[in-house]
Amino acid sequence: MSESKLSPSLATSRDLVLHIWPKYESVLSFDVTSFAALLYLQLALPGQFSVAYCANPDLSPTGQLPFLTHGLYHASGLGPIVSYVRKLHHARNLDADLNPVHAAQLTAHIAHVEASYGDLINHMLYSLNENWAGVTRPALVSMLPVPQRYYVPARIRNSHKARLQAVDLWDVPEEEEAEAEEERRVVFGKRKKQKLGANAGPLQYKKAFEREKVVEKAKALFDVYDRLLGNHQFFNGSKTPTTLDIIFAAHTHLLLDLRLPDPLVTVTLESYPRLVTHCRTVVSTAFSARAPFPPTIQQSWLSSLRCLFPWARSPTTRRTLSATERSPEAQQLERRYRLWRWGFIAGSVLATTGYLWYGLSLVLVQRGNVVARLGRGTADAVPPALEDDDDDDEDE
Amino acid sequence: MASPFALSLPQPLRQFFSLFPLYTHPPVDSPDKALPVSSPTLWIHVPWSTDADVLSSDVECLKWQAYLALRGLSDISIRWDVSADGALDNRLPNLHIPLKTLSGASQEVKAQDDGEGELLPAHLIPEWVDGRVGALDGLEGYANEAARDESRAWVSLLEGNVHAALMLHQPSSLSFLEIISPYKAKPRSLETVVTQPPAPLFGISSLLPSYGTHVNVEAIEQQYKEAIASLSERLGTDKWFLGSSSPTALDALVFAYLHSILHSKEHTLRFEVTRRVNLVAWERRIQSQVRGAFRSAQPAQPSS
Repeated sequence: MSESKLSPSLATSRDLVLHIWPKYESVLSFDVTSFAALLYLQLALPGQFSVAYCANPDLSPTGQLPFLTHGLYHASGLGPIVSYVRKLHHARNLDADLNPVHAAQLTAHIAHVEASYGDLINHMLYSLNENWAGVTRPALVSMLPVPQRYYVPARIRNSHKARLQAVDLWDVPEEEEAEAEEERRVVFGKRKKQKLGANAGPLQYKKAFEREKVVEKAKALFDVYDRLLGNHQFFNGSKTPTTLDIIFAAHTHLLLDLRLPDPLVTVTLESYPRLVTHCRTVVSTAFSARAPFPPTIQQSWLSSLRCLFPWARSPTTRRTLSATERSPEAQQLERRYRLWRWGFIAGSVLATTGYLWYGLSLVLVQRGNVVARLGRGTADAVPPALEDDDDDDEDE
Repeated sequence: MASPFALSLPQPLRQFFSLFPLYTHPPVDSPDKALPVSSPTLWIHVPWSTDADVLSSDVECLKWQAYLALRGLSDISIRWDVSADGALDNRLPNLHIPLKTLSGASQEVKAQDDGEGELLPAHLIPEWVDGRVGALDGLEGYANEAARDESRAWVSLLEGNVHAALMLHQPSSLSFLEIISPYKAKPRSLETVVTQPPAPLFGISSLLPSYGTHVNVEAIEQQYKEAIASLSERLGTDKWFLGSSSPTALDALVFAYLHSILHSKEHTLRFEVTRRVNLVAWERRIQSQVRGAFRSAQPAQPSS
C-alpha cells in the first residue's frame, strides 16, 4: 500500500535480496551453496542486487539458506534461484553460448559436483572431529545469538548424518569412544592400560583405512574434472564462467580458504594446480574492479527468543529490512503510519479503560451501600434518604 | 596341549565323561527345506503384475536385472517371496548362484551337483558376471575416457535428482501389520538422496526436537524436469547412451529409471518422459531384451 508513494528507484534493484550464510575469516560465505548463489548473481546481475547475511535458516520459506527475495517473490535453494534469475529479462545468461548437447552435459556435471564434491566438503566440515571442534563449531557459534548457539550447531551436524552415512563418509567415532570409556569404568587397576592398548591398534588401522577411502574418492572426482578442464581457463573451453565453473569454484574456494586443522581433502586438491587456478580465476572474474561486492544488509537477529517457538513466518515482510536502507520519504511515511497506528491503539485503550472505569464506578456506587451495610453491621442503619434514592433509581 | 606341563584329565573323570550324551534324539524332519539351486536366481521386490511380468517394481532391483540382461546373461530365474529383511544387508536384490558358477571354484566344486549355492549381495554381482562372461576393459565399455568420465556425472544425476523425484511420489502404503511387525525393512529416506539436508518440520531453532523433514517439492520437481530434458537431449538418436557401441552399466541404470517412471502412478513424472519420444522408444526397445533374459521361478499360486 505504501509502494505507490515510493520513489521508483526503490522498486527494482534494491528489491532483489540474496540471503546467505555469513562470512567467516577469509571465506565469503560459510556455506557452499550460498557462495555459489552469490557468484551466480554477481556474474548474471552485477550491481543489481544486495546481500543479506542471515544465520537463521528458519526465515527461509523452505527452511534452507540461500534464498532470494524479489519484491513479493521468493526462491529458496540454488536450483530455484538459478532458474528464477535466468527468467529475468535483464539478467545475463551464463550458459548462452553452449550447444544443446553441452548444456545437457552441464546439467549432469552440476549434479555430479553437487553430490560428490558436496559430500566431501560436508565430510570435512562436519564429520572429522578435529575440524568440527576447531573450525566449524566455533564459526557457527559466532554467527548465532545466545539461546540458539547452544543447540543449533549440534542439530546442523546431525542433519548431515543420514546422507554421509549413506555414502560411507560418516566416521564420527562416537561408538568406539563410548566403548573405551565403559571398559575404563569396568576394569580398574593395571588391567585398564592393557585393554586400551589392545583396542588401539585395530582402531588406528580402521581410521587409516577410512581416510584412504576418502582420499581415493576425492582423487577419482578431481581426476574427472581435471581432465574436463584440460588446459582451458573454464570448463568446456568457454570464455566466460558457466554455471558448472561457478559451482565447482565455490566448493574449491571453501576448501582452500577455510584453514582446517585436518586438511584431508585439501591436500589432495592442492595436487591439482589447474583446479586451484580455475577457482581463483572464477572468483576474480566475478569480483573484478568493474563489479564490486554488492551492498550488504546485516540483519541483526533481534527476536532470538521468539525463534524458539515454531511460527509461520513469511520471508518478505518489509520490517526485516533495516531502516537505513530506506529513502527519507519512505522513512517519513513509515513514521506517519507508525504514529497513526500507535495513536489508534492508545486511543482505543483509553476509551476502553474510560468506559470500564465509568461502568465500574456506577456499579461500585450502588454496591457501595451493600458493602457499607455489611461492614458496619445492622447497628448503624443507612440513612433512609439514600435508600429512597436507590428505590427511585431502580424504579426509573 | 602336547607339552608335558599341560594338564590332562584324570582317568576316572574321563570314564565318567564318556557316559555322556545319555540319549541322542533322532533328527527332526522339517518341511522347510532349502531348495537346491540349479540356475542363478535373483531375489527381487515384487513385480508390477505378478503373473505377466518379470521386471521388478523397485528401481534398484530393476537396475541389476537390466545389468545382468545387458551384459549378455540369460536364463536367470527370479523369485520375489523373500522380504527385504531376509536379504543380505537388508537390501534386495541378492543373487543366489550355484557354487559351480563361481569364478574361483575348484574342480571338485564344479563337479558336484548337489544344489549348494552362494548368496551374493548386489555389489558383488559385477564380479560374478565378469567371471561368467569375461571382464570389461579399463574403459568399462564406453567409447573413450571422456565418455567414461561423463557417465559418472550421468549416474549421479539419475541417482540424485531423478531418484529424489521418484521417491517423493512413491505411495507409502502403511498397513496395520507393517506398523506392528518387529521386522522393519527401512526404506531409504529422502534425506539420503537430496544433496542439501532438508530442514526439520518445525524449524531448526525451535524448542521442539527435530522431527520430520520439510521437503522442497518445487525444487525437486524442477530439477527432475531439467534432468529428463538433458537426458533426452544427450540420447538424441543414439543406439546406446553416450554413443557406446555396446550396452553399458549406464544404459541399465537409465532403463531402470525410465521403466519405473513410466509405471509410476504420478502423472507429472510420467508426462515428462512420455513427452520425449526418443526416450520412450529407447526404453521399449531395451525392455524386450531385458525381459527375455529372465524366467519366473515363482508358480502362479505360491504354495504356503
